[in-house]
Amino acid sequence: MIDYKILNFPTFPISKQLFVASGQAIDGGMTAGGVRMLSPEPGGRSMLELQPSLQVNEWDYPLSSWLMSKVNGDIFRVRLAPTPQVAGSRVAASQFKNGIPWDSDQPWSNQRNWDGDATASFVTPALEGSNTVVIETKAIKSILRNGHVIGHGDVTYMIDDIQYNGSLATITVNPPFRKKINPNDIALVRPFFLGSIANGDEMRISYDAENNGNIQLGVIRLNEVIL
Amino acid sequence: MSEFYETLEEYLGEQDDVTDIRAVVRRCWFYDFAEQPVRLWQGQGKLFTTDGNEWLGTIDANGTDYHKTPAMQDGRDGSSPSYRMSMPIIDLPNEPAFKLYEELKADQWRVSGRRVICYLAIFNQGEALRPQTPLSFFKEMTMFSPQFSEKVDVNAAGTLVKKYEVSVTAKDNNYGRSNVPRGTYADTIQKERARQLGVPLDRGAEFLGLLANRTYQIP
Repeated sequence: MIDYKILNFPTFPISKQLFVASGQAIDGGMTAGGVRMLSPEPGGRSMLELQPSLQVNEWDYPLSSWLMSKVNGDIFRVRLAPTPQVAGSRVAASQFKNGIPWDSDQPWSNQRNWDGDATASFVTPALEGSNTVVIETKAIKSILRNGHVIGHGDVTYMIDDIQYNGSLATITVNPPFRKKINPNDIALVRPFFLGSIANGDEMRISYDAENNGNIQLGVIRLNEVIL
Repeated sequence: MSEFYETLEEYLGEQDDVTDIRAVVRRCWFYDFAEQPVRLWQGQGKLFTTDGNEWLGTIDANGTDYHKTPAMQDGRDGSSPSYRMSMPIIDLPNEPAFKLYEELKADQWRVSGRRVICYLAIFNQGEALRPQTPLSFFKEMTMFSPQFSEKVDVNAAGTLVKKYEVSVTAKDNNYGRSNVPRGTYADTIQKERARQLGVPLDRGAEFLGLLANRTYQIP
């Protein structure tokens, strides 16, 4: 077993973040009518696009410079920033205005609830390579919809389809599960993504030494890495 | 008809317009190297089939297929073309490509005379990487010799990189049909065959030497 080094992606401000699990497709040819046929790649890799904001303090914390050297397959663990894809960033803000209570709907003794990111849990097991599982959403209420992301371990999955039965939700995800899921595993609502930078060349163009340490990095595209 | 072709038929259905047909079919390759079989499939990530096997995908995240395979002919015309399958050695962390390359060279005895079988897998919608339709047999070939090649190349960034590639040559089962059955028959060869079978001594062909330069009438 190879021991891979996993780097934590720097938590600098970003202006855009998009997780896509479209996977890839293979060209299937061109028909007489001019239609391009695509044959979708089963279990294709997912992708994360990040647009960093203007980095204002490169003089003191040259993170952009460091990042630009980590483009040869170095593996990053990225904590997804709260965007609309992450359920519980704004949906939860209206539902859990004052944080999340205990299981019994009771707050702490000082009348405060739990603060921070909510999690759900997996109910049924799912084998590596399959794509359907049941999760218990009692703790986060039924805020998950298709289009939201869900995490298991270091992998992010896009919810393709979701059906509620009480607080139990049967979800179909894309890409298929990369690791086996055991009952009671934690389903992260704000997941982690494991990827390596795919567009190192484009990123490097923007390092401008003249503008006072303000660096505007271009879009960073990370391809999913499966360990 | 096998379940594979039934599923394919379902996808084709009544459609007569190619744009309406969308069946996802991929090739799976089983390299039966002595003691260390390898299963590869033309896709990304691990594929799990109903027979309980795991297949390793050879396409990377950018859509490059590292496993180079030739187009297959069906052997009904009796010809036996050579097929060459190849794969570059990828640099892994803590494992230099050169080391792996040398190790593979040392292991090349595993190749000769072993089979390569190509299967077809069909994916239904929503099956992800666990297709429920059993694989369909497509072609069986026999591997002959491995080839190893190394060269220095310039990559996109202008750096010199050493590239290693391993390939095998295989022929389909039409190979050798014109050979005389059983070939040469002699005492030494018979003993060697017996030894390979685990029989300590087979004296059944010892008389053959006495037959040299004699004429016999078959009664």
